Amino acid sequence: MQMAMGKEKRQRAIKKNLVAWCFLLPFLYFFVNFLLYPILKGIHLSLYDSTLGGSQSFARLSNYIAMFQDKNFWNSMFNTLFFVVISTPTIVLVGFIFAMFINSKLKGTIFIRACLFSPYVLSMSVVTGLWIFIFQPYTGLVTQMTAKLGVGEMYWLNTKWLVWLAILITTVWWTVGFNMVLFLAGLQDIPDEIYEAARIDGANSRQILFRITIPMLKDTITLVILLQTIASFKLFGQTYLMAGGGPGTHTKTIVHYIYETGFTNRKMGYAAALSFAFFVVVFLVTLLQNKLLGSKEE
Amino acid sequence: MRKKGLWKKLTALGLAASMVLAMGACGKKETPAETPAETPATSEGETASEGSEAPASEGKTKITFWSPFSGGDGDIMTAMVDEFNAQSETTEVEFMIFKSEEYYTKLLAAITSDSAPTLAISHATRIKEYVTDGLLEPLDELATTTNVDWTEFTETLQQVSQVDGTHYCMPLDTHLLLMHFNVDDFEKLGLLEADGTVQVPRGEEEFFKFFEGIRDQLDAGRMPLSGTSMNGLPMYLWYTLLTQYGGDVCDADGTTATLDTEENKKALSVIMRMVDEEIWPKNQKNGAELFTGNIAVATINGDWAVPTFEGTDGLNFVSMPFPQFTDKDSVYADSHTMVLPVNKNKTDAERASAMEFMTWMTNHTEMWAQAGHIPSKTAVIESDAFKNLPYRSLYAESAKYAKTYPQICGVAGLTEMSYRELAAMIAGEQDVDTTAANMQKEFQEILDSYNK
Amino acid sequence: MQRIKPGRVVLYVVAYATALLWLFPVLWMIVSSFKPYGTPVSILEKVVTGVFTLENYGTIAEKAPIFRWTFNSLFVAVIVTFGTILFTSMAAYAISKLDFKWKKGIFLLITAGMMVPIESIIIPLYQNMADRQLLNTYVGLMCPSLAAPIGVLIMKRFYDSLPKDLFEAAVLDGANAFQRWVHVCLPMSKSSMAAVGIFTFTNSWNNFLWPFLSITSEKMMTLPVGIPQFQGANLSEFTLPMTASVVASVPAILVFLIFQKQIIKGIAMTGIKG
Repeated sequence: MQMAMGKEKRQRAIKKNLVAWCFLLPFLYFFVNFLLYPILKGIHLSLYDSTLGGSQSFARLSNYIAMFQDKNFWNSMFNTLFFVVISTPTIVLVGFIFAMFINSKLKGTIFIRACLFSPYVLSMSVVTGLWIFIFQPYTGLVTQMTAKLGVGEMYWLNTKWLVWLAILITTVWWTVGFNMVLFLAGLQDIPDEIYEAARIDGANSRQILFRITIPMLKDTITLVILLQTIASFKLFGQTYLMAGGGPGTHTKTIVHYIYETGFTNRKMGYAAALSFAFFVVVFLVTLLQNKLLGSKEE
Repeated sequence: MRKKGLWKKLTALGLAASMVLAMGACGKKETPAETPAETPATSEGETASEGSEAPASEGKTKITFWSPFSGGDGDIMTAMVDEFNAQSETTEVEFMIFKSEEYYTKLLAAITSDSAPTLAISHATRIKEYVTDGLLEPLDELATTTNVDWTEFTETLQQVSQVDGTHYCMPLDTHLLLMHFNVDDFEKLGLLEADGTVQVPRGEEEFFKFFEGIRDQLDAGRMPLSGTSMNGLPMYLWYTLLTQYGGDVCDADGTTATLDTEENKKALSVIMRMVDEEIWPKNQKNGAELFTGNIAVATINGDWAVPTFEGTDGLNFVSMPFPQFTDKDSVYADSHTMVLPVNKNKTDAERASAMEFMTWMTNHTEMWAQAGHIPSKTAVIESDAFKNLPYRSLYAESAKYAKTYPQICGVAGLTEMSYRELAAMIAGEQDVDTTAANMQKEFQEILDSYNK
Repeated sequence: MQRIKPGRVVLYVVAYATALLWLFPVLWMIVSSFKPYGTPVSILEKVVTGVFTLENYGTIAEKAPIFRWTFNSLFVAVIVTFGTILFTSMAAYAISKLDFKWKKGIFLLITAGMMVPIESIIIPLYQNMADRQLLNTYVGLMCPSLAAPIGVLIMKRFYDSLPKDLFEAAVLDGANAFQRWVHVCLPMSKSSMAAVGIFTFTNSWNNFLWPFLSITSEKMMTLPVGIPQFQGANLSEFTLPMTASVVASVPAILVFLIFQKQIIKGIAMTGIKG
């Protein structure tokens, strides 16, 4: 009797698993073939001394050992972390504020929304091209404005730290639209009745914001922070195209370094080792973040 | 409720599309297992016309040709290929343009998977590295069958087209650094010669005197000289000066970097003198635009800028050889060449067609000269067709003393390193001595990594 | 009639000022595209004054199969978008609402997949695709985009927030797992699906590195691969690239306008109420 029940239970469990896997399979098919497999191959490659198009020989852990002694690696890792720290809160916050603009039922919301989102559809080369025009010295827009205020040439894209501000502004302008959309999707999930109930209870708008909107958006906020952190870690095009990673190596990010190692210098094995280290760092940071954000709720 | 219907439809559509897709993916996946590896990796739907093995109906061998040319270069090259296709009875060339920054990545990736094109453009300075790794086919055997006379090329190009005595590429041009002047402004300044040219006197002090004079006469907000302060341009200028002052990047056998030297420090300090004296205001992002926008009266740029300047309404300019700072004539140059990347699917018929095409191209470079570049063959340089083009013959003579990077592996790394170090120096982040020391150290590391 | 509060006025001013500031570079791009070839587009007064012309649009249409490229981009992006919405929604539903072995592990793996930059995996991916003979095909263009995990995360977040009783009620009604997904999850998650859709479409539309490496014939090119032909290296002629960018951006903006309706469903409703 008991055995039969156990069997039935097992069969049900198998069926449950089977159903779940049917739902997962279409996505996993692509994920495994076109993402996971190349990743694993990359990790494998990191154990080789391998030139793109050239020779390849097993090198044990020598790529990793070299990496720890490589000051370019540490420098680009630092630059990347610096950008993650300055950009993630900024972009998340601005995205949230924009979503609030749109959610506050102004007249002409459609226009505002389209304006705030439109940069997001532009490609990297267009975005950086436009912002070079804005920040470049002598003829740039910012220079023309600051000159009227009596400020001399600032060399935005060639001065330490100032260049980060320029990159940050560009990145916010370009990508904040997507965070705004995510927040909007989250805001739409909050039922109107809750707001109405709060208003009837005499809550002012600040109380509504901090007591209702933000707590209700907690999952969305966690998600947006996670996505934005990962996106900020992957910074490359803006610094590469607007500042060439400079002045010096001041804005050279880790992805830039991976790209340069693998494609300019053709050292695929070393680039793969750098990639794996990058992955580990991102993974640890997001894990830590999840722990912190997760514990806050209790 | 209507919306629900819409979403259902969309879902159904998506489902259908993805099923088709998945089926396609599965179907495709099986093909490599069934067919032997020799099947040429042609693009989708073109498998019917592998001209080589079974001559196609029109009897032409199809070959593919990749290039990094954009803008005017791309237009002119397209026109040349069209012209060739119209004339040739045996060969049809499919010409492709790819974004220049990532071009070599694409080429290398294709070579590693035997999907490289029949023919590709490569800069002459890259040849050595690719030959060392066995990525290019030697041309000598093919060239003998089609009677290529290598001595028809200019002397510099004869040297750069071979590695250890074997030819690996056919050069199309010499392209080099020039100086361009706004004719209207120089006329006002009284510095325009009777023949409509501008002559910067030879010598370092003379150069500075000339441009300081211009700087002092210009209105506020105008500049004597422009040139983008990052990426390629500082490097072209730097290598020009370095070689004019008698230096080079490494010794003759390409094992030891020679950048922490007096010659290099001299070249670097001349650049900084130009910056400090505000002859060349620092941190320019779009040097050419400062020139076309009538802000700078002269600009440093390559011969490739000539077509854009010609196309700019209301700009009267003249392009001249880059000024000489010493008695030793030299100017940074490189060469666009055509190479045969290794691809085990390539047939002899394709090779023969490629040779036919390369020979035709190198004999018709007077067309290519419209892009501003100097033809690779002496006979073409001396032809009327070339001489009749404006400006070109004014600077064509500098091809005689054009200096390319020495034949070494790691030119890509050297380029990246010098972009970065020079930009940092011009931005005022580091002084001349530090820059020279950094360049030495980093370039030595690059050389060592190839010579171990 | 209600008086307008001063706070509301400030909000209007700030919102509109920001919107215009945000729009400015885009407008600039559009205006520049109507300037004659060679106009220095960074010098603002030269952009807004003088001659305007459609010449650049003519040049682009004549020089390149821009409509074919637009079709390719659109075709790839549309299929990738619907495929992604469908597959990620299914996967997220399984992870959020169904029980199975290694659930946590699989989700962690999918999340981790996001943390690898495309630059790191592009060469193994290329060789993989070459072995499958998928280079230079539409299928080859689409596959890597369909593997993107971000949609799973967004959809899972949403399904996690759906109240349990909804599903329990459906179970009591005798709905199986598939029916619960179709009748409960899909209708409720329109705004999240729209967000995933916008993200996927834009990414596919602007995707450069993979299509660039994979495509080897002009007729298969997508816009980001083809358009750099109009940009000269080391030069600064920008009216043509600007024009090409305008052509490339318009369809993406239209798609946003279509999808955003799904996201902002609430506003229209409250508009009637208010």
